[in-house]
Amino acid sequence: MNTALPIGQDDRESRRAFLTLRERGARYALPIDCVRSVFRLGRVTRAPRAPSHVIGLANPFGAAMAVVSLARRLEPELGERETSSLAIALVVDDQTFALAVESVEGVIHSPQTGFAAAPGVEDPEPPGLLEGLVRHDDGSLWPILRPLRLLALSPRGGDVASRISR
Amino acid sequence: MNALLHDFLTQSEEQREAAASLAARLELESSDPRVEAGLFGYFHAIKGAAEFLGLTRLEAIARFGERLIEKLRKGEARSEEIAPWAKIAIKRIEFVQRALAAQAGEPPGDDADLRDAFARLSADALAANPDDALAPLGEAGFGAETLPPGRHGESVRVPTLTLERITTSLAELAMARDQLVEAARARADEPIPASLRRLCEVVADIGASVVSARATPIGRLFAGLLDSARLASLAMERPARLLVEGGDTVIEGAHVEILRESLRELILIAIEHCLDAPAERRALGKPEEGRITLTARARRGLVTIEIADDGRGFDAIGDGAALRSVSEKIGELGGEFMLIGGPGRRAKAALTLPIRQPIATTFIVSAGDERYAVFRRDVEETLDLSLVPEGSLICAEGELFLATPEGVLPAVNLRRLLGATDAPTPNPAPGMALKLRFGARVFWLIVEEIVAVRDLAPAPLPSPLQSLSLFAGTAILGDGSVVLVLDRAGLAGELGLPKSDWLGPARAADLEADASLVNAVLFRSRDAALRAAPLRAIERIASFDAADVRHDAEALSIAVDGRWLPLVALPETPWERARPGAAKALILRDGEDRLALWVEEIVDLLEQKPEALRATALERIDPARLFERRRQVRRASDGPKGNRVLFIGPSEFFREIVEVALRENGYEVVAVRESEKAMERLAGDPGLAAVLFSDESSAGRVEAFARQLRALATGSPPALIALTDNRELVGFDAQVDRFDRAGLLKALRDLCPPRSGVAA
Repeated sequence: MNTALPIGQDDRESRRAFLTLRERGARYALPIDCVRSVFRLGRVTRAPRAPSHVIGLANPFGAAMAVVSLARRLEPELGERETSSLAIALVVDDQTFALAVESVEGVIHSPQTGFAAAPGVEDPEPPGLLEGLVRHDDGSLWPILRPLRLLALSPRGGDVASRISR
Repeated sequence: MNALLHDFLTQSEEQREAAASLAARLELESSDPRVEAGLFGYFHAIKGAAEFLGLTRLEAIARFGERLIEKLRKGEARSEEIAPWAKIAIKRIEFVQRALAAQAGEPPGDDADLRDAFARLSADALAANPDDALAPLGEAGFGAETLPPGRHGESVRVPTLTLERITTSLAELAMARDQLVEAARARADEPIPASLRRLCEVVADIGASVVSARATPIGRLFAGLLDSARLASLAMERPARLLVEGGDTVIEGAHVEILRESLRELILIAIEHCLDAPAERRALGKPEEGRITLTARARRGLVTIEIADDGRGFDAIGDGAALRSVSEKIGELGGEFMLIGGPGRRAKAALTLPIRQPIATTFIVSAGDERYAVFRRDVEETLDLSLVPEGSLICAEGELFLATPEGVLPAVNLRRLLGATDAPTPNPAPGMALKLRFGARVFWLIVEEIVAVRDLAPAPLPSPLQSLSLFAGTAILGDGSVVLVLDRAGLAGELGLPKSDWLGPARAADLEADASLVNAVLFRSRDAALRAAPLRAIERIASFDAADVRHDAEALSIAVDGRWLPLVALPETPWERARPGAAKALILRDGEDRLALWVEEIVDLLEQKPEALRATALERIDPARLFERRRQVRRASDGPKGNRVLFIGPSEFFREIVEVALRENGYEVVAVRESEKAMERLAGDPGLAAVLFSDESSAGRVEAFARQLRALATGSPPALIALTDNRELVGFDAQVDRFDRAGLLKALRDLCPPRSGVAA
């Protein structure tokens, strides 16, 4: 169903939490269960021939992770002009990566009934970056990002085979 | 599915193949305690794990199997009575496990047939109550006296995820170590503390242990392969026996499945296409039963598995597609597949697979402002470009080549390749070149500087970068930054060099009947005649001085890359010393063998259909024939090698240990302390079988010495074996840990077996 659902009463058991953030002036939400941490983006190693939305590789916790630019993901034509200094480490389907964003605002809790599903959500693998909308305390609606789509991979994560042993 | 169940199912699949093979042996042969112990061990392990995981049906079936074998051991039933039911139990276990793997849970079923069978087989009290067959046994039922020997406390199962975590932690430990080493180096006036040295040793030890934990002996695949060979031999009516060697060679646990599939494929191909029919074998004076030999060995982080036959060899294969499929699968694991050999020397199939090292020595190289890592094991040689003559880097039609005294090889400029600059680089600033090899492909990687040599803990490329073929993975440097590790196969691909080497170069033209075009080098020989040599057999073009050609035992040779190569000068008329002057040779390769073909001038590159080339009057060179003729000359001129081994090393204590071990095994040891003395000794003793080098000098010095030794050797050179710990050296035939007595003897036996009549 693509219809926006009515906002119901606050049921603690069915509340979902979201990390809210801003990018190029727009507001977005990320399901908090995918968020591992927020960190200041230090040295990023360029990854030649990587997809354009991948800034490079960073090492916030002792292992390399790809840094995806939300700005470039949203606007591929942006090129290398954007410079984010903050990143959110995300873990989705055993895949860890960092999302470079303009700023992080906070955490909101919202009842399940406070969501509106994005078009196509009944499809197990819907296209698009958005999972749906969540209503903020002030009544505004925030788009919910679909984390795995930010990587531009299929939900199964594509080919995870490594050539490291060569 | 939880990780424990997943690991249990994965491991027991391998065990099941071995158990099925044992059950088949039980059926064919009279009772053998080792077969009984193996089967009992299998059922016992399944029963224990099933009990732990709460899989009641599986536990009951395994208990049935366990008690069957007990009856056999006690002499209460004959092996031909037990074997069919053991096979059924194994099949039933497979059925339940497949359902579990499909996440369907344990399928319902009471296995009454098994209970009934047990009742029928039982002559004792159990027969009165068939249900007892599947009832829990008391401790007495599997007391210590009934367990296969040596099963207590030998091993524990560790989930793969835990191993990955240990590997990651090791990476962090290595990173911390590097930071400490950097800090210690910064204090140039103070020696590196002993505690830090110890830390380095411990990190290396843990690295070796992790490799060992991730590895599995290839022998675990052998039982299943023996079974496959036996069944295929029966089905194809070609009696064949599979002989296996090197079962203790370890492979990456993650490679097991693909390797099993590939080896099975190759064995079936060998039985079907390589072995002659029994009547033909009889006519050839061969025993009716053909032999296929599978040999595994490890060297410098690589495992090589060869499959040979006593029939027509892999030359006889009509279906190249099957081999290509094997090649692709092995390529996906970062390995290589090729055929080795030529006419008169039955072609063998050879697979080479890497063993992932948690800590690997790397060169950190710079390209612009960026740094990249290159596995040291991939690097054959480094060259300081400031020392090569001007014009050595040739930029022709957008492609780069590097000319050295050894010849002209393709080159790739890392900075340009990775987009740090768009400028072509015919005359780059002085930098460094690293010679990389991937299979038979050799090329130079041009970098600006080798910044450092570091032991790093490489990790796979993270999402979404796995598709970047230029990189093998990532690693963390001592300063915490991420470095990308370059992939030699990816770099070779950038140069247009084929990434797959599935056919021995000399055999490819014959086997690829559908090849639409033939690439050949048109050259003028010394007699001014035009001839063509297939491009795929040519490794490169080398330059030499005609005055340096050596002529002995009716054969010519020239020094290339520090080794003497046979030189073929066409037409092969009696040799007359050439006048000094620059000359060229095509370096041809056939598997591990190389030879040089003297050319006066390279005229053109031909690209024609095979029939068009055949129609010309042009003489086409068949490299396979050249190689075979050289081998015949070598066999005729090579006497047996002696048993003398030259030991070079400063430590008296260590020398004594080595001497005792080798003398006990039939070798005569000559020892010198210094490499200079070794040169003198080698020059005066061409019959040396091997040189053992135990010197903890810098790797560069040791490798330079190896090159000198090879250049000095005449005829077939002695085997060079490095006795060293925790480092990888280039230029040696084998590398053995200093106190690995068995490893040293095996290397010697492999490379230079003692003369017959001497115990080894």
